[in-house]
Amino acid sequence: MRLHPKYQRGYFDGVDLSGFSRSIGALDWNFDQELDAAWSDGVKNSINGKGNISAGTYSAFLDTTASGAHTLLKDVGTRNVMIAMGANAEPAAGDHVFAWKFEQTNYSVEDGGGFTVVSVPLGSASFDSTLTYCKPWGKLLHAKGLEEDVNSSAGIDDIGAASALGGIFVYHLFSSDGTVTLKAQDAATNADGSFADLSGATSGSVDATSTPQHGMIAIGTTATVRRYLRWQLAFGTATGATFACAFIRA
Amino acid sequence: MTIALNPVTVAASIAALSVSGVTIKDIDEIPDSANMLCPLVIPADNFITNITPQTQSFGSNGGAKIDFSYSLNYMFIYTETGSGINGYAPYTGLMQKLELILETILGNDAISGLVDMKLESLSEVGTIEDPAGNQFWGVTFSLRCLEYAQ
Repeated sequence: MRLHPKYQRGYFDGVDLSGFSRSIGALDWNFDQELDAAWSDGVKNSINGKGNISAGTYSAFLDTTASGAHTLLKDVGTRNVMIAMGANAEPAAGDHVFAWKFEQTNYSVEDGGGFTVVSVPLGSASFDSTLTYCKPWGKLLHAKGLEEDVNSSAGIDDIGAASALGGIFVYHLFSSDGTVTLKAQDAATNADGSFADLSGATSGSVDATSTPQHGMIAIGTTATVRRYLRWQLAFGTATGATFACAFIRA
Repeated sequence: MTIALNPVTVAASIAALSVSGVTIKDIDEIPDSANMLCPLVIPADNFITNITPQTQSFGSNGGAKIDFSYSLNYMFIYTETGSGINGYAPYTGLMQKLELILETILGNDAISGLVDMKLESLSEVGTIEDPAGNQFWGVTFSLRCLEYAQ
């Protein structure tokens, strides 16, 4: 299925900026390449060197909304960015996700022809992301929405097999009425009773009562991740949480 | 690979939209006359126009990615001309219902059968004729639809 861009959603530091966003990209990973060849080799070879991940320039509308793009992006900082790619509908569990942390390098406001626009170059991968992984594409475990109970549903089958190279758990907790822990779970069989917490893939106790919370948690690079994945939560003092989360399987 | 075109599905999905005080008809529900049925939105007799298939990839025999764009034309029939205590009495009510119709259409992301739909044009508000040729206060509007046919 081809994807129409109107179904993309953009989450920045636990804030849903979809309604302010005009464009972003290119969503990119790349590697430096080092030429490497022995004297007697017939041709030169290249080997991948350091990797980098970038999200290009983000463009949004300048507005006065308290939780809008200006409020969040006017100051320099590290940005936790998740772009959920809805399959020609609102994003749902199993849809593609691009997620990483970037250093914002600029904030530029200009006339957009009838409205005022903001351009935000997202620079390169942040020091605050992870050095142990180099792939920013994963799958959505939970589309943005309110949950008031634990998850007892089946999960997603993202690659059709288990893996043993770990991954990254990414979450954006937009709001909550107290403390909550967001988690990823895996299972060999896609049934409620088979799922167990994926070691390390947890937000820890977070509270978005007044300030949105977000995180990018890399688990061990040799961790086994069973075939099926789903979101889970454990309420502390909260009774409800509005969040989106994803897992990037390495 | 199968080419799938869905204007009939789209029309049914539009007919299923809920606009307070307005009935939206599907293409198999077009009345001969709008008398006693207003306010009413019905497919116009030139219901589908400006059909534009555009091949977007390599491939043939149904294997190519094709954008399929078209316009769906509707009539909003508000009330019989001459209703009310003066000539322009229905005008405010017509505008209020028209606002509701446009808000519902523009705010809806769940029209089945397509990936995007935009308001393409709106005629001047005034006198229009129902299929029987009776005159009503109303307006015609056109929706531009985009399907990923493959």
